[in-house]
Amino acid sequence: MEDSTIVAWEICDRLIRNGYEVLPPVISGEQAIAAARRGLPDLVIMDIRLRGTMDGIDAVREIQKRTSIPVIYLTGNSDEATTRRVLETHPVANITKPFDEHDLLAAVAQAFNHKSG
Amino acid sequence: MMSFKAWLAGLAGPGSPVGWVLRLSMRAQVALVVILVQSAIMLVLAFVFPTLTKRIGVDSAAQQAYGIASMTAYALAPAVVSGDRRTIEGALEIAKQNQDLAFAVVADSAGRILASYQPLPVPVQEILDGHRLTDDGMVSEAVVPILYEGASIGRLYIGLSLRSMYARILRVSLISAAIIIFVMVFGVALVVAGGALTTLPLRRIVATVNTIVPEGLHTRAEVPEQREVRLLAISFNRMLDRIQQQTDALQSEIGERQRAETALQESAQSYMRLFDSVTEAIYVQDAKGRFLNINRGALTMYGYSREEVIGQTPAMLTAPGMNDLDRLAQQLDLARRGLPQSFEWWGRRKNGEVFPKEVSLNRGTYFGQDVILAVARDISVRKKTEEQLRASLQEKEVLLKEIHHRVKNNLQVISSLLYLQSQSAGNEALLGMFQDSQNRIRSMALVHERLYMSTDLNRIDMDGYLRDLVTGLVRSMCPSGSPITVTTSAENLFLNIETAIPCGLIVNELVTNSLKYAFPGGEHGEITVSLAASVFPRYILSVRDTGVGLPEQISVEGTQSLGLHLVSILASQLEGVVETTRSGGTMFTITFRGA
Repeated sequence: MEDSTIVAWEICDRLIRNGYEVLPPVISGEQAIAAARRGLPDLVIMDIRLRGTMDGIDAVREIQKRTSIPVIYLTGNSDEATTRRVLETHPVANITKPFDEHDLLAAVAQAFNHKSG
Repeated sequence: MMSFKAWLAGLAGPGSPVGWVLRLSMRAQVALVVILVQSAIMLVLAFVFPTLTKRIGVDSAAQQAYGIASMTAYALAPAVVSGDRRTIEGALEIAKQNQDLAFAVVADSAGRILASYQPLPVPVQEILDGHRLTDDGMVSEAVVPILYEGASIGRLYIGLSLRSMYARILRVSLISAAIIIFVMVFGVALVVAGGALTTLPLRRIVATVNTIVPEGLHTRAEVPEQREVRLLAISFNRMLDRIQQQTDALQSEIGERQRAETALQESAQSYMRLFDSVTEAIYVQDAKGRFLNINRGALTMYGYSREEVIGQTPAMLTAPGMNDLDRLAQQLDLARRGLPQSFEWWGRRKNGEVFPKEVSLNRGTYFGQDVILAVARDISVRKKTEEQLRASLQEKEVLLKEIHHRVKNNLQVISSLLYLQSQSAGNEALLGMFQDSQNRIRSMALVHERLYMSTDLNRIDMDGYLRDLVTGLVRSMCPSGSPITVTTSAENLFLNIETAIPCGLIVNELVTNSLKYAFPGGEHGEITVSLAASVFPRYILSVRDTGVGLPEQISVEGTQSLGLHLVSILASQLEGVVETTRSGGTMFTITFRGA
């Protein structure tokens, strides 16, 4: 879930090229919740700043009420209050932009290992 | 019991006669004394003199009577013997010659009257019976025997009238009284005149004294001839000389004092004007903290009148419950010891409005008294401005952070676009170019990321930045791991964004080159990036690898390579110089001007 569709496109492309299946990216929290319910993904990659009234952390909380999908935050928001809220949702990783592919793939791999383990 | 002194004091008191006498003039006192003495003498003379004179007159009359009687008796003796009445009466002629003869009676030894002569009507029998022999004050009597041949043949009774004597006594007394009165009057007149004459020089001195007031101290008393008064006048004139000297000195001193007083008044007025002209509130507090004085600035600040504040304590000007009173007590104590104190305080105006003020306390003296001088400035406006500035600054910081965030996101979008474009690149070389471009963008995005995360929006921690930058490069270019060890060091170095971005781009290019070309065989090696401060404001950046070394034909200045060309351009942007060392690998050293 990424507010910039271009960045989301890059992430999707990198994940697909590395063998992952990816649901189409969405641009708001509400869409993310709906997509998670509908698609039941194995992993959610979430930006914190989203369009609409809900931010990424609120959307994750909503998603986590019904499922236990692991979450990776990919964001530029790194202030203390946000970091605290992020940690309350127990993410697999919190990657700050600009990201590199290595960090992204490592975090995704960790999420799947965690899930399978 | 009244003491002797008290008795004397009472005697000479204002209401007593003695006091009255003591207040009289000397002349009057002398005249009074003379009158009293003369009156006493007169009294003595009035009582004693007539009595004495009478006694002497009576005695004298008695002796005279006795003498007349003796003489007459002697002459009568033969006549009595003869029995001739005529002879007897003739013999009485001796007695009759006395004008004062009151009676003369001749009796025989048997008591028969032989002859009598009585100018005064005195009964003969009474004379014979001796009833008249006692002195009644009017007649002096004598009885003598008439002797003949040694035998008493009869008696002679002689009485002398005292009237003429009494008349003489009265005359003499009147003359004496007249003389005494004359003497009294003369004496008093003499005293008065003499006193007037004697006190004339004194009165002249008094007159001189009286002229001193209107005419001034240069007046001198006339020096008379009389010794005592002369000495008095000389002493008086000397005293006047001395008084004049003293007066001159005193007037000089008074003049100086008046000038000093005028200067003091002017000084006090100047002080008060100065005191009141200060817009800050100034309070003068005594040792107990009470206000001794406050200036107009304080009255304006608080809205009280001076009378309302004088004698009060700072509690009336303090916002209750908003200040640390214990701390104030400590600061007052320190100020009293001579350590100036300065702090912020919440004040309260008369209308109840609470406002912030800046207070300074200093020890001082106020008209000889140790005091605390407090100066307070209303900082409401300043506080409000500060608050606005702080809010404005905070808002701008938030905005600036947002800008950095958006720049970083945009750079991320550009990077993503390049990535997506690179996926359609036909060959590795083209893919590499895209990769290089993405890395360059990333090096810039990292600066914005750092600024966004930092509390200091002006400076970038170069140590963390270079570490993130180089680590990302290695991961990007050697995704499957690398045998090359990359180390960075830039401890405690902070640069602004204008310097950090070119610096980051230079490091990006040089490390990329080293990763690409220094270790062609995939061998182990080291890349070291270090940034250090030189002579301010210059910094030394060095990028060194232990690889095969830069070919001799390639130089930073004459290169066709975009990377090295960028290094050259960016170094010149930083007013820097690039030095290349080809020994045990390659080392680029850029000395640049930073900020």
